[in-house]
Amino acid sequence: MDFNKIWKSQSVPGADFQALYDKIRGYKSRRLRKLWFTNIALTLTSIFIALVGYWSNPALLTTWLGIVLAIAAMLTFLFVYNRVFPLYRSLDQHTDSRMFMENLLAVKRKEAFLQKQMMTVYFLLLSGGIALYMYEYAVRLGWIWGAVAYGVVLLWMGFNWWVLRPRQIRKEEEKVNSLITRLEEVQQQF
Amino acid sequence: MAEIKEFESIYLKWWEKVYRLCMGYINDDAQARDLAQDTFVLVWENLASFREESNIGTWIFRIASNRCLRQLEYDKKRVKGALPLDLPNEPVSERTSEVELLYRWIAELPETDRLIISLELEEVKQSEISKILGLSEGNVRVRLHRIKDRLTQKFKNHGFQ
Repeated sequence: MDFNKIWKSQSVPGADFQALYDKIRGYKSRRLRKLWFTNIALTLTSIFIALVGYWSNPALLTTWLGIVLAIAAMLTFLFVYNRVFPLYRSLDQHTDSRMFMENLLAVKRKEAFLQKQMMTVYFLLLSGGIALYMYEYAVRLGWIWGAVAYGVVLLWMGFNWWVLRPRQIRKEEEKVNSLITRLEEVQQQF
Repeated sequence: MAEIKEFESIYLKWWEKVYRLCMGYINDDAQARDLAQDTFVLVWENLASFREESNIGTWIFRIASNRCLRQLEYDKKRVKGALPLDLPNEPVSERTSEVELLYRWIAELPETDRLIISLELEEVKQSEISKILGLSEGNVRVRLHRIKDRLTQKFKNHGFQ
């Protein structure tokens, strides 16, 4: 069999400059849009939380601490998110494929690690922030209603910590682990 | 302006080769076009950093091969190439052309073998293939021999001489 002859008889679509230049224009903006959107959305949320604190003018330090922790949760998320993005940009596109696969795997593993750590820190900070923030208002409600308010919030936090958080981590891990396994399979072909 | 002209001449010269390599990897026209276009977006972005330490063909094929491998990230399910090779051969319609069969059977190979045979069929030297993929020349030679044997056998099994 003359494989070369058969191979070359494949009809090839013509080079399309218009489509290529459209893609080049859209390429960077698409990658950056999501990054900008997440940064702006979480920064605005943090500013909103800070303004709520400013306008409500809390009397106790715990309320302010709660606000600071909630904002710290947002910033932690952004910090990790912004650290993952450059990892992909630093992937050398024109190294040989064996090296490329090694680098891609390293990036994926680092991303998986960062995401897991970030989820835990994010939940801890946000839960701590809410618990501290509501103390001042719970005290004003009186002993019984204050306990009810804390009870409801603690139940909600427990649900978040023991049900939602592990589920979210598991979902992320499954996604990234199945990809890592697939990448490892291909890497072993080298 | 000179850079754009240089890029456009590279694009025109290498488009067909890169498209066929991507087609060999993915065996789907729309996806192959996309992969090939992505390759040239990366070529455009990195052209300034190309330092002529390897020839331009090796450089472009590296980018194309890596872009193809990166497709693993976007394929939720296992691609058809990940099927075991010993599956019984399915009946092939008489109208199915040799070229369709060749691309189909290449797409059934493991990912790296698809790249090796596609580069070989693009008449890239084995020493260059080893530089593109990061394999030893001996490894490339052995694997090419095995792949060609498999493909020949497949064609024979379907009545081709």
